[in-house]
Amino acid sequence: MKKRIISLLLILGLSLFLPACANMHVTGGVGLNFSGGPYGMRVTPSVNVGMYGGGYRW
Amino acid sequence: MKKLLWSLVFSAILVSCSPSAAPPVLTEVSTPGYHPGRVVWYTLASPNPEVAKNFYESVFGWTTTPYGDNNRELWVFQKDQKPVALMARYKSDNNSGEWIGSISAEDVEQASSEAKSLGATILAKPVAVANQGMISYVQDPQGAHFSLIRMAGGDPEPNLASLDSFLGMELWSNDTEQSQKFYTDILDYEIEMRQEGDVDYTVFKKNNLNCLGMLQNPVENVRSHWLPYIRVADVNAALAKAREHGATVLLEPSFDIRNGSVAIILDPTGAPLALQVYNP
Repeated sequence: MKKRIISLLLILGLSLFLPACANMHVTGGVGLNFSGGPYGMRVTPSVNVGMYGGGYRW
Repeated sequence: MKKLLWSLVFSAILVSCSPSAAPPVLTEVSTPGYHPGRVVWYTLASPNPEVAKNFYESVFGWTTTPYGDNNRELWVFQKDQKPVALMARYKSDNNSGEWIGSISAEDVEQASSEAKSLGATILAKPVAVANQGMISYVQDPQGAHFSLIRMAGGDPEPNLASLDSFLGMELWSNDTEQSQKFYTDILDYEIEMRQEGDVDYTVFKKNNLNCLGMLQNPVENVRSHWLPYIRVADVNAALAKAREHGATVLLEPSFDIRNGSVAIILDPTGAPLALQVYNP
């Protein structure tokens, strides 16, 4: 009986532990912190039109 | 009894070692083969996904499907049932968002390590993401965010973007010389210099493909950053919709700039993007 209990506990333990062996994550950036967008939320910047050509030929 | 126990153990190992269920996002856009150096995927890092979701659905007709824990952390943007981008909830210091382009790299670990040695900050070390591939997130030495990726099933074909999807990305750099050296060193680009109107323009090329563009940042007191371009059918109509749904306009279409075919906005969460009519 003792053996069976130990075996079952082993199975349960493996089930919890082994997901790590896949070394896979579902998402790429969730939970990350970053400094945020370059403009923030409060500024109203303007583009210097003399310095901008309209993007390149893709 | 012993056999039954060992069967259970074996089943537990099989189940445990399988990757978790994940959105089949990039496998849907992958094609055989790789195009290193090109931006092959786009992720909106957003501190306010609910607002961003409403904006991109309203302006570009995208649909949004949630994934991840409790359906509140990761979303797939689709256009005509084809994935165009991801959105992930990021905490940000200034409560604003940013589009992050994923640049195809032959060896993400090596390129990330090289970036770090050149002064970049690794925001997320290279990791294998289910159904996507090996990915790292990097902040270049001037603060611009980008990602390096080796897609699991190959990169999308380098075709012209369909309407309401991404044409590519352009770096607005405060120090173009330093940026040119940084990106060339880690991704082995060839450089082509052009004149776009009166503006010096750098094209990063690899294997005869145009990969990235770069110009001197035309906005004062703003750090270097990447600007994504979305192809639209009518820039004025798209801009009107964007404005109606909370965008800030940085640049109105002007005849002097590409015959009025380009506008630049900040989405309601502060992420910059360009709207462009592009019909080569």
